[in-house]
Amino acid sequence: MSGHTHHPDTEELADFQAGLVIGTRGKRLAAHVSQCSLCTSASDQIDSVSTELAAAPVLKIPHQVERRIAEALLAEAAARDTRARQAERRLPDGPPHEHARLWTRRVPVLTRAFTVPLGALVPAAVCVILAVAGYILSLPSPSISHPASSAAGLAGSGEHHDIMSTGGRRVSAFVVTASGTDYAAATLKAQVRREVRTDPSSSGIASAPVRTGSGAQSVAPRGSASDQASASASPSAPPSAGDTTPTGTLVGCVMRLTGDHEPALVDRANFDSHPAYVIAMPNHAWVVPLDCTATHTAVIESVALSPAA
Amino acid sequence: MDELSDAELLRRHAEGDAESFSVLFERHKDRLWAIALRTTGDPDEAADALQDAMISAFRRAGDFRGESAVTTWLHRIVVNAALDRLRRGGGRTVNWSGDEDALEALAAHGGQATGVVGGGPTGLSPGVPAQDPAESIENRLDVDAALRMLPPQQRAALVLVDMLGYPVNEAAEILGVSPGTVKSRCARGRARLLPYLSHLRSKSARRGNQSASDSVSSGQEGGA
Repeated sequence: MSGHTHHPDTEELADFQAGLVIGTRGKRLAAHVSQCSLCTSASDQIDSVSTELAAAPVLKIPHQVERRIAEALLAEAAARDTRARQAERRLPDGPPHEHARLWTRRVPVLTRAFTVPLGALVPAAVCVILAVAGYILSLPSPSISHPASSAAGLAGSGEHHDIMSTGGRRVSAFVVTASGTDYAAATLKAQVRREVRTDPSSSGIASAPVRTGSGAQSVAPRGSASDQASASASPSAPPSAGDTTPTGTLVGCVMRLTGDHEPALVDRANFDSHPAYVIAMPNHAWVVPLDCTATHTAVIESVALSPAA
Repeated sequence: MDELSDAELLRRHAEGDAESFSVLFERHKDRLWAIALRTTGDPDEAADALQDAMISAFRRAGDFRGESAVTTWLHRIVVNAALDRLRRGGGRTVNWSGDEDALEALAAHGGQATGVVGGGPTGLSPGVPAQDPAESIENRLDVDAALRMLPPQQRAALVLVDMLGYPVNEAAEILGVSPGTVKSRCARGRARLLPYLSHLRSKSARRGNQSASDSVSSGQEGGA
C-alpha cells in the first residue's frame, strides 16, 4: 500500500478522477488507487454513472407544453409587430402604403379612430400572427374537434389547421367589437343577426353606423410591451375588464371555431350576464368564455343561423 | 426553410421574418425540453422555464453575435431560465436535499412522484443495448428521480456534460462558470448519484449476460 493509508471517500475519488486533486496529494492518491482494488472498483463505478446518465432515454416534449409555448410565441409575435407599428406611427408622414390602404378598407372603425396612417407594417403584423397561429394549429391534437367543419362545410373534424399549407383557404383577419349586449340563449340568433347587421367591420356591410363607446380594435394587440409580456407569461389569461384588445389566444380561438375563415362578428359582451365572446359566421354563431383558446374553446352556446332569416 | 442553418433562421427572425423562430423551436424542442425538465426536476417548472426561455430568445435574437453555436446560445438561455425559477423559490416539488428517504418515496411512487409527463421514450443513445419500453421508462424514472437529489447547479452540469455530451469548456460557457467549476460540479454530482444508480448497473450487467447467453444458445442451436 502507498503512503495514502486511508481509502479516499467517494467525493475525493470523483474529484481525483476529474483531475481536481493535484500536487502531492494527487500523487499519493494516484499511487493508492493504482494499488487498491477497492478504490479501483469504486473509480470504475463512478465512471459508470456518466455512462448511465448518457444512456437515459431521450425525452420528448409533451404536446401540451409545445402548444402552450407556441401560443406564447404567437402573443410575442403580435407584441413585436405592435411595437414596430407604433414605431412606424411615430415616423414623419411618408407615402401611403398600398397594404395599409387595404387594411384600412377592412377596418373602417379603426381608421376613423386613428387619423394617422397605419403604416406599412400592419399587414406584416397580420402575417406574423397568422404564421405563428398556423404553426400552433398545425400541431397534432386529435382530441380537438373543429366546430366550423360542419358549420362551414369544410373537411372532416380531424383536419389540421396549418394556415401555411391551406392554399386557397381564407385566413382570418378581424376586429373585435364591444357592443355591451347581454346575449341570452333564447334570443341569441336575433341578437347576433342584429349585431352583424350593425357591425361596421363585418363583411359586406359598409355603411353601418359607427358604434361609439368601447368601439373596435384591430386583430393585433395594441397593449404596451409590459402588457404583452404578461400576456405571454400567461397566454390563457382572459383580458382584464374593459380591455377589448384581442390577444393571440383569442385569435387562435376564433380561427379554431371558424376554420380559419374571417368571422362576421367577434363581440366581447355578456351572455346570461356573464362576460363572454360571441363569434359569428354568416351561418353559425358561438358563445365562448373570455379565456377561450385554440386548444380550449369550451363553447358555451352554439347556434346555426339561417341565411334567409 | 427547413434546410436553413440555425444561424440563418435566427438572423431572419431578427430581421422580422415570421416563420423562422418557429422552425428553430421545432428543430430543437425536444432537447430544450430535456434540459429544462432535467434541470428543474419538475414538469410544471420545466414548462414555465422553457416558455420563459423561448420568449427571452425570441426577444434577444438580435443580440446573438454568432460567437457560439445557436444551440449553445439557446441551451444557455434555457438553463438560466430553469435555474432562475429554482432560485426564485418557485419550485413546487423539487427536492435536492439528498435525503435518501425522499428518494425511496419517489421511487416507490413511480411515475406519479417523479412527475414525468408526455410521450414515452423515443429511443436510446447509440450503442446502448435495446431495452423493452417498460424497462426504458423505469430507467428514465430512476435517473430523473436520482438527478433530483442533486443541487440544481450540479444537476445542470451533469445534464450538459454527461447527458447531452457537451465538452466541459462548452458547458462552462453555457453555465457562465469556469471549466474547473463544471468539472467539480460533475464530479461531486457523480459521486452523489453513485448509490442511487447502482441498480441500473446491475440491470445493464444482467442484460449483457442475458445477451451473451442468448448468443451462446443460438450458436448451439445453429450448430445442432
